[in-house]
Amino acid sequence: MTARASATSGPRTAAAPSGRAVVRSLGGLLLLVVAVEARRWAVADIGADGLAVGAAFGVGLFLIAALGGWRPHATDRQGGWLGLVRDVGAGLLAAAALVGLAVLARMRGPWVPLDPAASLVPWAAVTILVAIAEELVLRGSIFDAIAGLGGPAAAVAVTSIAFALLHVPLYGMRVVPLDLGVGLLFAGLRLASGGVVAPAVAHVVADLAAWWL
Amino acid sequence: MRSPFRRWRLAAAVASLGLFVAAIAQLAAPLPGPPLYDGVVVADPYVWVRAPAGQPGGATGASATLPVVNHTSPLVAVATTEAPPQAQVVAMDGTLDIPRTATALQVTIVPLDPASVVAAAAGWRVLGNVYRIRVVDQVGHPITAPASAAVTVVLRGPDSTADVSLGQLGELVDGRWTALKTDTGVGSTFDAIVTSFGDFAVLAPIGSGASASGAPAASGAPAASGALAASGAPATSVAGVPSARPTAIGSSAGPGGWTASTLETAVAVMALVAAAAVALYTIRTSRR
Repeated sequence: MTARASATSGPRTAAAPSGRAVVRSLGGLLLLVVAVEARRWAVADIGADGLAVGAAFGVGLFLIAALGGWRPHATDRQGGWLGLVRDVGAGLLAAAALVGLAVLARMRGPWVPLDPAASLVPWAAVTILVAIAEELVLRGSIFDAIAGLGGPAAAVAVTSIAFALLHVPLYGMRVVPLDLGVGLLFAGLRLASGGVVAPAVAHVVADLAAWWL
Repeated sequence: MRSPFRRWRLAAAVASLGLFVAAIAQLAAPLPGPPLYDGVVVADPYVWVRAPAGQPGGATGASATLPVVNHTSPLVAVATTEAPPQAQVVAMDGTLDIPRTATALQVTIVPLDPASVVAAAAGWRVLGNVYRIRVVDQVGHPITAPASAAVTVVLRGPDSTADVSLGQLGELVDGRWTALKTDTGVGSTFDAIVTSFGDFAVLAPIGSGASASGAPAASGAPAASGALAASGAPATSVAGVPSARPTAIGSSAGPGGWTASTLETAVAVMALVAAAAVALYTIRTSRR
């Protein structure tokens, strides 16, 4: 992935009209809520196949990110590839920290494994799709829009809170403190790297690790 | 940001704060599962003891005999065979109170038809099967655990348990269903810390579930540790079964399988999202 975006403005221009930024940020958050609720409804209410719903959810998030103005950028040959390697490394480091925390927690108390009823490859493919799509929406288009309105601190706060609340339908309120912390970590990666590669790598690796934990 | 240094400083502060908060949250109150995970939830269809029409029956239990070494209870991690399991009991080693004469622990999980046990209190219903979980030593002496040991029972509710926030784990105590302080997990799973073993079930207010759009029951949710008195009425297993589910559930090809019904669902969801996206994009570009 070669997406790069500035930390404080949208990917296309450094001075997006504030009205458009408001629409992008609020619209993105609203569409995200709709997508999450649709996924919960499809899985819980009508018992649709988890893989199919997950794939549809991921594609839907890609569309939301594109609507919100996220676009992949061509690699900057004057250091872009090195930057890409750096971002991947940062993402892996963050993922290692999160997986380490999960392992420590497992050693301290009872642990209920995920144990999905699916084989590894299709499960991993859909998990990767969903994790990347979530980062494109949260730390991509919504982050850009809110940063353009209220600065990077506002973007960090809103996207981190949204990330935490995103998991409530799956886990309940008790997961909010942990996922708020994880959201802040991913937002920090987004700020440091200026793009979504680092948080996406961290998110993907942390999610994939659930298969073995 | 005007200065890359300021940006880096803010990024480092935010990331450090995030890691600190996550560490405190996970170490102070570890969640019994992979809480960051937000990918797909792929589960076997719920297997019943006494199956409603169109639902799979033949629920099976689980058992294990675990040796006791040096008068210390072993690690207990026994689960039924579904994916995810419909019933599990987990206890870290050294956490159970065992007699000094114990040489082995026998752990059994037996699924029961709710009609064969005490009915839920008025206003409540049992979701799915009741599970009888027993942990005894080699002579049948029941084993207990202190609350601090965090011994956990996990039950999975039927797939159509729509609103996980309304489900609670209940334990049958002295002939009455007692609600336990319950946490929810991925895929309609409910877990609670227990100090003794017996009959457990997922309870929900009557009126919750797919047909109620997740609205709270009229009687309201009871306190987490409140006792739910047995109604004495005929078992509510039939009445408590979720309303008729789409045939897509019964016709599922199995774990992770694609069927015409799941494809239709996926296409419908994607079409809705795509339609909304196109509409918004059209509106957006028309204003330029």
